Amino acid sequence: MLRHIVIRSVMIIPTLLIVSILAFALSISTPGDEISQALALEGVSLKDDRVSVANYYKQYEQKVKQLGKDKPIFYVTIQPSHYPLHKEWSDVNTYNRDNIKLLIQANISLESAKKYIAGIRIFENKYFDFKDELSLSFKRDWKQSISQLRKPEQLGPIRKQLIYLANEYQDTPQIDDITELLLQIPADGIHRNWHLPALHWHGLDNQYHAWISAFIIGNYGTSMLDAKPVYTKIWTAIKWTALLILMSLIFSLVISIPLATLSAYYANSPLDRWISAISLAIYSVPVFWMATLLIVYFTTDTYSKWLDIFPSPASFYSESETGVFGLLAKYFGRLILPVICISLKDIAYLTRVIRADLIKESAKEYATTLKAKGVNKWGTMWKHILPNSMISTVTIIISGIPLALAGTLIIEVIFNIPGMGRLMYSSITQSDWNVVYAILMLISLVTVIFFLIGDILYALLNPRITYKGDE
Amino acid sequence: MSKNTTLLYRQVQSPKVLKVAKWVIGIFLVIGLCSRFIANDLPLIAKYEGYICFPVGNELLSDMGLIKGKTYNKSTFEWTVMPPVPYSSDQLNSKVNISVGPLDNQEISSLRYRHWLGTDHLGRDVLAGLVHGTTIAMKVGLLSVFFSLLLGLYLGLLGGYFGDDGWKINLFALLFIILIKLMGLYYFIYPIVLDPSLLYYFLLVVIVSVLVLSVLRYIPATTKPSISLPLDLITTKIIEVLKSIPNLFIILALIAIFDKPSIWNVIIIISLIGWPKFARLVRAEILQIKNLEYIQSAKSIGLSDIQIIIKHALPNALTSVISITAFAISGAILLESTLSFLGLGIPLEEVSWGSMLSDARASFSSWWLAVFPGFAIFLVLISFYILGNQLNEKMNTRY
Repeated sequence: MLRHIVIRSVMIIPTLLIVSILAFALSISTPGDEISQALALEGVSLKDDRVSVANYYKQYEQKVKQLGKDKPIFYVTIQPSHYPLHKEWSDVNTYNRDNIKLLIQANISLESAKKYIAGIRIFENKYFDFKDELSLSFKRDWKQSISQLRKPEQLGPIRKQLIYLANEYQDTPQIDDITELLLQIPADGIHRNWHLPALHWHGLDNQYHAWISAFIIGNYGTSMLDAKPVYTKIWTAIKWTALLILMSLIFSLVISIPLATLSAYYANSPLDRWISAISLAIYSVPVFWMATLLIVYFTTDTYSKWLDIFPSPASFYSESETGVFGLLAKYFGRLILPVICISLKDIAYLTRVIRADLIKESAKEYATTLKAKGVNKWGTMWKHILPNSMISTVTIIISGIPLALAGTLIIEVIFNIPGMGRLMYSSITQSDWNVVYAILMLISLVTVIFFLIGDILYALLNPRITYKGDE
Repeated sequence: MSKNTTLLYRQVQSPKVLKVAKWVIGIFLVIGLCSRFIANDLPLIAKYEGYICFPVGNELLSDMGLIKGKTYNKSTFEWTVMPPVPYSSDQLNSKVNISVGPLDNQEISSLRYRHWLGTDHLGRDVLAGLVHGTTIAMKVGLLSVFFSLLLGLYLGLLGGYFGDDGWKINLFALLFIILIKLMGLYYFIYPIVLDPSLLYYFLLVVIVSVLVLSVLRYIPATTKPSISLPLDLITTKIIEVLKSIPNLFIILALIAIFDKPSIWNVIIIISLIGWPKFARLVRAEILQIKNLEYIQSAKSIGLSDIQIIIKHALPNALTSVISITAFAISGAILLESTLSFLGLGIPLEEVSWGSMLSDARASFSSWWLAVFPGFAIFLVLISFYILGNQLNEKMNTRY
C-alpha cells in the first residue's frame, strides 16, 4: 500500500516535467515581442519623441541581457546549419528577426543583415523628421520604398527606385546613405549548406533551465502588463476560485444526496424517471447559456421589477478583504448566481452517480439482512447504505475538483469574479504570457495532486484492493 | 466523459425520444451542409441581364476556387427566387431593424423579409446567424472528432496490441527509424516556418528511408530483434500528461499562440486534445481482444501483425468506439461554442452560436439573442447524448 503511494507520487514528477516543457515551448512561441513589451512598461518606446532610435536599441540590448533572453532556449536545439544561434541575434526583436531570416536565406551574412536592418530602422524613423519642404508624393514613395527594403526579393527593383529618387531629390543626404547601404549588401553573399540540420548542445545555462528552477523555488517572474509579481496575482486570484469551488461543492452535495436517495428509494418509479429526465436536461445545458439567461432575466429590471433579484455582475470586487471567509461574508449575495451555475451540472451528475451506487449497495447481503430483520427501510437507506456508498463518491469528488476549474473559468469570466480562470482569460487577451503559463503549470500541479489524493483515498477506503508488490 | 454521461442517461430512454433525437441531428446536419442555400442575401435563381443565373451556386463554386466569382448588382435582377431566409449571417442593417425582437414591429417590405427571430445590435438576422452557426458547429464537431478518432485509433491500437514488450525490434533498425523520423519531422516542420522549398527534402527522406529499410531486411544482423519498445508505456504517458491539464486551460493556452484566429486552428486543437479518450477505449478493447482465440489462431497461421490489427482486431474494437463518437461530437461542439463565447479561436466576424450568446450579455433587453442560440446548442447536445446512449446500449459495451 505504502509502496503504491510512494510509486504514484514519484511518477508525477516526470509528468510535471513534460508539462513544464510543453508550457515553456508554448510560452516562447507566443506572438509579440516580450522585450519591447517590457521596455514599454518602463516608459521606453520608439513612439516616444524623447527616445532616440540608437538609444532605444541600446536599452533593448540591456533588457535582453537583464531578462536572460540572450541565453539559448533549451538544452538542445536542432535548426538549419546556416541559421544563427539564439545568442547571436537575441538583441534583434521578433519583427526584425523575420526580415533577417529572409536576408539570410538570400545568402547574406548575419552581421551585414543585422547592420542592414539596423540602418533601415534609422531611415524608417527619418520619415517623421521630414519637414513640409518635401512633396507629399516623395514622402509616400520614401515610406513605401523603405518598408519594401526589408524583403530581399525586392532589393533589386528597390535599389533602382532609390537611385532614381536620389537623382530627383539630390539635396536629401539620407537617400545617398541608404543606396550605399544597399550596394554593400549582396557583396558578402556566401553560399551556405542550408538543407542540413545542425544539432547544438548548450548545457545547463539555458532559458528553460532558468525558468524551471525559478519556478521550483516559487519565483514565477513578473507580469508583463503591470510589473507586479505573478505570484501575488495568482495568489489573490486563487482565493476566489477556491471559494467558488468550495461553495458549489457544498451546495451540490446538499441538493444531490437527498435527491439521489429519493431516486434510489423509489427506483424505477415515475419519480425516479422524472429526476433522471430532468438531470439529463440540466446536464445538456451549456454552463454559459444558463449563466447568460440568469443574468439577462434576474439581474436587471428590463423584464419586470420583481425579477431584479440579484446584483449585477458588471460591478467590481474590491480586494481589500484578505481571508476566504472575509470574502465570503462581504460578497455572499453576489456569489449566489455563479455558484448556482457551477453546481447545476454537478448536481445532475452527482445525483446519478450516487443513485447508481446506492442501488448497487442495496443489493448487497447486509442490506437484504436488514430488510429481512424488518428494520425501517428509510433508516437502512440513510444509516447503512448511504455511508457505505459514499466511498466512490468521495473519490469522484476529489478527482473532479480540477475538472471543476474549467467550469469556474467560464463562470468567472461571465460574472467578472477575479479568480484564476478570469486571470487566465484576461492575461491571454492582453498577451501577458508570464501569467498564462505560470497558471498553466500551477493548474496541472494541482490537478496531478488531486488525482493522486483521489487515488490514495480510494485505496484507503477500499481495503480489498491490492496493488502489485503487495502480498 | 462518455462513461459519466452514459451512466447518467441509461434510465432516460424511449423509442420516441430517440426518434426525435435522430431527426434533430439529421436536420442540423442538413442545415449545416447547405447553410448557404438556406440563409443568403443572394437569390437562388434569378434573371440577370437577360440570362437565368444561380448566384448562390456561383458564390459556392467561386469560394471553392473552381470558377471566378461574379458580383451582381442587386437592383437589376429582373426576377428572383430567394432562399428560405433571405439574409446572410454577416449582412448589416445600418439604419432600420436594429435589435428588433421577433414579436416587435419590423420595418420590412413584405412578410417574406421578416426577421423571424429578431436581429442583433448591428442589425444582423438572428435566424441567418443560427444557420451559419450550425455550419461552424457541425464542421468543428465532425472534423475534430474525425481527426482525433484517427489519432486515437492509431495510438490505442499500437499501445494495446503490442503492449510494453510486444514489439521487438533490432537496436540498429530502431536507431535508424528514430533518425529518419526526426529528419522527416525536421523537413516537415521547418519548411512550414522557413522555406517551402525544403519540403522536397521531406519527400527525399521518405524515399531514402523506404529504400534503406527494404535493404536492411536482407541483412541478418539488423533484422534480429534485440530490444522491445514500450509502446504502451509511451502512449499511456502521453495520455497522462494531457489529462493532467484541464482541457479548457490547455486549449486556451494553445489558441493563444496562433496569430490569426481561424476555424481550422480550433479544429486542430480540439482534435489534439480529444484523442486520448478514443485511445484509452481502443487500448482497453484491444487488450481484451488480443487474447481471444481467433486472434491467436490468426497468429498461428502466420498472418503479420499489421494484417491482424487491421483486418481482425480493429473491426471488433470499432463497435465500442462508434458509441463514444456521439459523445465526443457533442463535447467538441460544446467546446467550440464555449471558445466562441469567450471570443477566442473563431474569427470575430464569423457569427456562431457562442458569439451570439456573448452578444446577448451586452444587450440585456434582447432576450431573443440569449434564448435561441443557447437553445440550438442545447438541442444538439442533448440529441447527441441520447443517440450516443442508444448506440452504447446497442453495442452492449462495458461502459
